[in-house]
Order: sequence, then structure tokens, then C-alpha cells
Amino acid sequence: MRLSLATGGVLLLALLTWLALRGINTNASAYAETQRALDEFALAEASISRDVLQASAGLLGNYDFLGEAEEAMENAVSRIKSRVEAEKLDPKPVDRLAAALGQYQDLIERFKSSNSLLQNSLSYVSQSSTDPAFGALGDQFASSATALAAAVLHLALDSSVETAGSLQQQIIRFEAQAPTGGPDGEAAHALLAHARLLSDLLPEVDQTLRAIVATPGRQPLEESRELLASAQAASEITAQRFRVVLSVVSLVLLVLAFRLGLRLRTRTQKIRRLVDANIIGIVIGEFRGRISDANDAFLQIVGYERNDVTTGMLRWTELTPPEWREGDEQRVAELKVTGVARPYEKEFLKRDGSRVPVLIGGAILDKAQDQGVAFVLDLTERKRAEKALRESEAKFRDYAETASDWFWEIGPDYKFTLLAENAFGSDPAERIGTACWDHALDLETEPEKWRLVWETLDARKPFRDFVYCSVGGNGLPMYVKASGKPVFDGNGEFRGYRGTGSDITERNRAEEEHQRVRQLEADLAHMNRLVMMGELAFSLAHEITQPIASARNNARAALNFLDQQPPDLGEVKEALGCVVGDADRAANIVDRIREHIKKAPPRKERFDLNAAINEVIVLAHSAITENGVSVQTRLAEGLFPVQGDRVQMQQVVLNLILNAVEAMGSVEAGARELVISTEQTKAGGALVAARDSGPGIDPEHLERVFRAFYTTKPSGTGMGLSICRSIIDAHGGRLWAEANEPRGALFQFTLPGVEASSSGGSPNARAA
Amino acid sequence: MPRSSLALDSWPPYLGALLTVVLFGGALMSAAQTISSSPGADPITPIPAPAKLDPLRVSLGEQLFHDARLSHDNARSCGSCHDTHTNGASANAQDRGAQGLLLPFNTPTVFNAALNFRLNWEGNIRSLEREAEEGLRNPAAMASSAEEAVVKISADAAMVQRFRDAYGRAPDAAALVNAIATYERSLLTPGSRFDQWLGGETSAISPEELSGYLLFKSLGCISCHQGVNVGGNLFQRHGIFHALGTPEPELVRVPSLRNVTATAPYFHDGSAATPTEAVTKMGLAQLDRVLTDQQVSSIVAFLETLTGFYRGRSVMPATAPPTADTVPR
Repeated sequence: MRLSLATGGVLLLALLTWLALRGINTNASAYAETQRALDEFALAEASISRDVLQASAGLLGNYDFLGEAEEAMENAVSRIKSRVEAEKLDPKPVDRLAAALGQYQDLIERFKSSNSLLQNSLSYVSQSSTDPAFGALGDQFASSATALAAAVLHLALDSSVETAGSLQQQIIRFEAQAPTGGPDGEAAHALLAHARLLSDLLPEVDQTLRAIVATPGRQPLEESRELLASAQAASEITAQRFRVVLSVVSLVLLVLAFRLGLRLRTRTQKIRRLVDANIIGIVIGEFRGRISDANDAFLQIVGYERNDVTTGMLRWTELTPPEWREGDEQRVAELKVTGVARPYEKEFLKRDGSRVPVLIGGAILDKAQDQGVAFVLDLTERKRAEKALRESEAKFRDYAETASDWFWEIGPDYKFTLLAENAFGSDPAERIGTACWDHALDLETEPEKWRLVWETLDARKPFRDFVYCSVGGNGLPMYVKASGKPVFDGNGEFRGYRGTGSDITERNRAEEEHQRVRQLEADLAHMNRLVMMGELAFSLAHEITQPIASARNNARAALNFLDQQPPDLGEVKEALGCVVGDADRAANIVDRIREHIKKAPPRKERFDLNAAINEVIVLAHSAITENGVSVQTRLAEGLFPVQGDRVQMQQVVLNLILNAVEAMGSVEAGARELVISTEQTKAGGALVAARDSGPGIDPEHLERVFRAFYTTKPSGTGMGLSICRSIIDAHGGRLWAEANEPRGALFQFTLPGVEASSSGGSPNARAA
Repeated sequence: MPRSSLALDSWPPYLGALLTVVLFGGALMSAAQTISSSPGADPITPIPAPAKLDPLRVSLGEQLFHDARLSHDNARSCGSCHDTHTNGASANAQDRGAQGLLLPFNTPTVFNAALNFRLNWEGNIRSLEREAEEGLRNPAAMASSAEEAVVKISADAAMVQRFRDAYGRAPDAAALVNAIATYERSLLTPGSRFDQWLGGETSAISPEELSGYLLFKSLGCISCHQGVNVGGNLFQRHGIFHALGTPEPELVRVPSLRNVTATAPYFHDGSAATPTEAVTKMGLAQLDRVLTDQQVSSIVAFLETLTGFYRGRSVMPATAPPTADTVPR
């Protein structure tokens, strides 16, 4: 662009110069000069004609003038000739002129030679003809001498054949009379010799004169003049045409230049506004370093004042730290060649000595003056942001690398576009471009789960803790828990999802293990209950027989009352009512036993702890009384309900009662006391305590009693307390043993309140 | 004058043309300054002061003029025959050139040669440059060439520098001959007593010398020997009435009589040893006049006044070393 502009400018300039030169008619001065040469030739020719005529009349002092005039003519001819050659005109007229000049010069030379002899002889003849010596020789001789001289002069004036003949006659006549010897003879001989010479010379000189005066150069001179004049006229016409073209072109250019100027002015104003807007730093200066102008934005970046610019002391080379100068030089070199320096990052030294990172680019303003304009962008903020981003990225990477979870991203087609290194324990590259369900193993077994997932995805909703079974890097099934949220770009366009995934195979396995242990525990608890029921079988049997016997007695009494005449129906009715009550009691006992030995999954329910404990005491009543134990209950009033499995809780209490009854079998009767108490804990839970007056537990064995298979009873399995502890643990409570004061053992357990015990539950439960 | 007695009506027709030319010529003269002619002026005019010449070129030309390297055998310079310390020529009737060859004519003086309209006895050379070129090339003279001389000169650092000073370039043929010609243009001999007389100093010449001049005119010598160089501006046959030396060339360029009494011997063949001899012979051969001794000595006395000065010194006869190379007079 720049190049074509420059080329265009040069071409335009060349065109204008060419037109101007063609319009000048450079021939004009050369033509004038040639005209002068032509005139000089004519003048010289005229002066020669004049001098020649004067010389022939004996009036010319010397021939130097002729030589000078000839030289002038030669000079003129050579000038005309060189002009004709330069103009490439027809050379013939000038060649003819030169030839004429040569001929002319020959004539002049001939004239000079002859004329000098002629003048000499003429003067001799005119002198000697009046020589008194001739007069002394006699009148006749004197008169013939005079006649000879007159004939010579006549011939000098009229070179006709007649005059020449008359001179010849006079010569013959004079020769006949002339003395032949002595000084007179000599003089006569000389006169005769000169007269003879003159008779030859006079016609010759006359002829030469005529030839000279005829000026043989005139014709070719006029031809040359015409030739040059017509060439001049032609070139003047051409020049005129070019002048017209030049004025038209100039006018057009003027209009264009005016329009261009207007546009340029507008543009300059725009640029000025940009400079003054101070959106970016703009600096104008020389390549060598001097800054001629800079806007406030630039000054702010480098921390200088406007004064520093106006004084011309600010140099951008000095604003540049040394290590950037070489780079700057390269940019300046690039700028000089291409006209622009591509934006690049560098640093400037601020006035306070600190450095400021900038983005700088530039363009040539004026090549001739090595001037350029540069824009400068302060990169401090960007650099800071970049650094923060880098740190954040590093942090993120560190997290990602240390976490067992992995990051993933899927595109709008739900195919993986990014996977962290640790994803699926396999090469992430293998899964890029596949959907997660391409590797799922539970698509068929759990279609409902997947249907929900797809619905969620299609609805662009976030999801959490979605667990599915995939294939791990080792080819084995891998349980994956994934969470993700949709990603939208700036235009709100859906770009896919991103989120985390983790391998929960191990956790699942642990869960399963736990489940199995729980089952085992439940089984053990059940077995424990069966054992306890076995232990209670006798007393329970008695318990049941008692209402049955009572029912029999009452039934008998009823029969008896029926047998009375009249039958006492009132008594019968009362007796039968007692039978129903007895039967209900027996049924209740059986129900409770069945309930207790029933194998059922643990339940979580709210129940009244005190009521549950009372039921247990009723259940163990026979065993307690048989062993001569007195039971006291101190149950707290208004106890908050607790949550858990009621049967298991009663199992624990039953265990503690039976253990205590048994332990007190070794102490004397009357001192066998069991106290069951409940109280509200500060945390809102419940504390249950069973105190006996037995032999107590060795303090060293306080914990050991909870171990499996620890037993002091010959018939015990040693599992009771161990199972109790695991039941309480499962309910989030604690079971422990202490020494009782003044004697015996104290077993206590806590149960968390409803609120506290539900904290470990599912979020859904909490939400509910 | 008898002519004055002639009637106007019998004048040949060209006299009318003459009148016209004279009348119009005057008008033209006033318009054009290029040609200066003063009809009826003295037949002899004084030697003008030399034109302004570049002193560097003059001095270079002088050095070259006396530089024997210009001859093929490095034996002669221009100055060998043109002794500028004496009369600008030699005392020999004919000088010898390369390999002892006799030059065809008597060496004309180089003094005032610039004022001649043609050069050499034959008048076949029109410019001093051409004369220098021809002189170098002439096998009988220098037997070299301007080009050959340039090659030799170019080996001389000092000379090369002088060329650069004078011409702004290394030696070449054009500069070489121009330098010699420029020097020759400086070889004018103004200040002769006759020129002083022409300038108005009536006492510059004696009455006897003046009468010699008048005789020179009245006898007709002035017919050919006129102009600034007292000759040198036309061709003339020699031996009009009686033979004068060798017949060839038939037509000679009339020699200048400037410094003539110092430039013996005379004529194209150097056949006249003294001015007296030359004047006597000229009178008979060209004018058919037997001059008396008194007439001859009067004319010679006039000729003496034509001797001018070069570098403040009067032109003087060449000392004639009677060497084997020279032809006896």
C-alpha cells in the first residue's frame, strides 16, 4: 500500500515534470542561439563582402578582419550544424552551407592573394606612369606610359573583353617604345611586367569579386533558416499542446489535492482526538530518540510531566531499560523497511526508577525526518491478572493432582472433551470423544437410574453424586460417583458440562462389608435374644401358666355359678370377664416373646424409652422374683422420645437385668437389689443406668466384659455385652461399665436425642 | 589618385552594391559587436595583450613544450626546434627531426604563431592544437603521438598531479595538446617599438625607421605584410616575377614579419641568411624591383622596430650551434 502510494507519487511527479518540460519548448533558447548564429553568419558574410570591396578598392588596411569574419562564419556554421544534428533535422542545407563556406573561403583566399599583388602592381603602375624619368624619354613614350596606366585603371573598373583587349594593345605599344637598357629600361621593364600581371589579375580578381559578392552562402543559409524555423514552429506547437495538457492535469490535480487535503484534515482531527482522548498512550518522536509530542496517557504511564516533553529533554531511548534497547533497534529497523512496527511487549523506566510493562507498536509518520508515532498500552494490570491467573491455575493443578477425584468436561454431545490424568484409572485420551455411558456396565440393570440422568442432562440441570458402574483401567468394574453442572458461554449457548468424578469402588465394598457385619450383628443379637428367651423359658412358662391357671379357676368358678340354681349369672359374667383378661394377659406375654425372638431388620422409630423399659421388667419379672431380687425403677418423667429399634433397645436392657440378677445370685438374699433409672442428658439424649448390689466387676475387667466370648457364666455364650455395645454404637450412643457405690456394678448407656441421632441420616431425611 | 578622376556613370555595377553594403554594413555593425572592422585602419595593428589564460594550463603546457618524453625516442622536445629563450625557432635553415631526418621547411618561430590565421609554411593547419598533434605525430618531427606521450607522462606522478590540477582529470591526449596550445597562445611579443609608435609614441621610432616604414608601404610590401602580425593572414604565390628559393610549395602562407630581424634564416627553405638578403630577394622576386642598398637598409631599419618582448626580454637571434645536424646556410 505504502509502496504503491510512493510509486504513484513518483509517477505523478514524473508525469508533471515531463509535461512541464515538454511545455517549456526547450528549443526556444537553443533556437534563439541558432538564430543568432545564422545572423552572425549573414553579418560576417556581409562584412566580408564589404571588406572585400574595400580591399579591392585599396581602402582596406589589412586582411585580419577577413580572417576574423571567416572564423565567425565557421563558428556559426558549426553551431548551426550541431543544432541540426541535435534536432535530427535534414542535414543537407547545413552541409550545403558548410560547402558554400568552404567555397567562399577559397574565393577569399584567392582574392587576398590576387588582390595584394593587384594593389601592389596598381600602385606601381600609377607611380611609375607618372615617373618623371619616363617624361624625359619623350612625349610619345610618356604618353604611351600614361595610356598604359589609364588602360590598366580602365580595366580595373571595367573588366570587359574590349577593355582587356585595349590594355593588351597599350602593352604592345609601350613595349615597342620602351627603352631596353639602363635604369630607364629597367623601370620600363618593371612597368611592363606589372601591367602584364595586372592584365591577368584584373579580370581574375573581378571574377573572384563577383563570385564573392554573389555570396554563395545565401541560398543554403536561407534554407537552413527555414528548416530551423519550421522545426521551431513545430516544437512550439507541440509545447503549446503540452502546456494545455499540463494546465488541465494541474487543474484536476488541484481539485484532487484540495479534496485530499480536506479528507486529510478530517483524518488528522480524528487522530488528534484519539491522541487527546488519552485512551492509550501515544507518543510522537524521532527514531534516534527525541520525543516531540506525547499525550497525557503516555506521560501517566511513565510518570513524567508535560514539561519534560515541551523542553525536549525526554528521549524514549533513555526511558528504555538497557536490555530492551537491542530489541527496540530491531523494531526501528523493521519500521524503516516496512513502515510499521508490530506491537510487542517491553518495559519502560518510570521517572521514579520503577519499571512499567507496556505493549508498544508504531508506524512511520515522516520517513524523511525519521519520525514515527507509537501507541503504548500499560500492561501492569494485565500482568498482575496474568500472574494471579497463573497462581490460581497452579493451585488448581496442585489440588487436581493431589485429589483422588478427577475433573471432566463434556461437550454439548455429552462426549468427554477433557479428563484429568487420574480419571477412571486409565489413559484419559482413550475416553475423550466417548460418553460416560459408553463404558457403563449397569445400563441394562438400572435403566431407570440412567433415564433420570439423561433427563437431567437434557434439562441442563446440575446433578450430584450420581453413582454408576463403569470399567476401570484394569478392566474390572469401577464404581464412579460423578457430579457436574452445565456450562454456558457468554451468549448463553450450552457448551456441555463440567464436574468431578471419583472412584468409589472401595467405598462401596466397605459399605457392603459393613452391611454384612451389621447383618451378622443382627443375627448375633437375634441369637442372643433366643438364648435369653431360652434362659427365661422356665419363668416365662410360669408367667404364662399363671394366667392360664387363673383363667381355668375363673372358668371353673363360672361353671360353678352356672351350676347354682338359679345360676348366679352376675358372678358368671364377672368370672368370664376375668377369663378374657387372663387370656389377654397370656396372649400379651406370648406376643412379647414372639416379638422379641422375631428376626426382623432393624427399624428406626420413635418410641417411649420408659415404656419400653417397663415392658422389659414385666418380661423378666418371673426371673427377677425367682432369684429374690428386688427391682426399683427411677424413670425420669417426661423423657423425650428416642429414636431407634425398640426391640434391640429392650434387648440391651433385658441383657443388663438378667446379668445383674445372675451376678447377685452369689450374694445373700435380701441384699439383692436392682435399680433401673433413666434421665434426660443435657444434650437432649437419654441416659439409662442399671445398678446392682452384686459382687461387682474387677476394675481391670471393666472393658473386657464387652469383648466377645468373655463370660463368667458356665452356660453363657460370652456374646451378650459385646452385642449390646454394638447395638448402642449403631444407635450413636455409648455403653460402659463402672463400679457401683457402695457395691455392685453400674452399667450405663446413652442414646442421642431425636435431633442429634438423625444427624448421620440422609439429606432427604433431614429435609423431611 | 587617378581613380578620383573617373566618372560615376562608368563605375562597374558592383560599386553600387559596395555603397549599399557600406551603408547597411554600418548599421549592421552597430547592431552586432561580434565582428570588429574599422575600414581604412592602419594596415598594421599592435600586438594585443594575451587573452586571459589559465596559468596552470600555461605552466603545464610550458613544461610539456620542453619535455623530451613527448618524442618517441625521448630525444627532442618542441623546444628543441622552437627555442623560446631566443626567437622561438632555431638558427638552422632546416632542423632535423627523428632519426636525423631533415624537416622539409625552415622552422617558423612559435612567437606570435597564435596570431597567424593558418599555421606552417603551407598554411595547412588551422589551430595550434592540431599543429601540436601533427607535430607529435609527424615521423620526421617527434615520431610519436599525443596518445603515446600521455602514456609516458602518466607514469610521472608529479605530472599526473599537474594535469589533475589544471584539467581536473588524469592526462589524456586532448588535455595534453590543449596545454601545449594554451602555452603557445601565451607566446606573444608585444611592446615592440613600432607598436609603441602605433600607440602614439612618435619618438619610439627614428625618422629613418619611419621612412623605412613609408618605403615598405609605397613599394607594396604592405600588400601582403599587413595586419597585426605583419603577414600571416593570407596565402601568396612566391616568385611572381623572379624565382624565390625552391619552387615548392607554390603557395605559401605569408610569414609574419614580427621579430623578423631576430629570426634568420629566412624563406621557406631558409635560403636567406640575413634581413638584407631577404629584403633584396623579396623586392626582386615579388615586386620586380631592384632595391637600392639604401632602400634595403631603410626597410631593414624599419623591420628592426618590429622586435617585441617576451617575459620582459627582447626577442633575440637564436644562437646557431654549428653542429653536424644543421644544414649550412
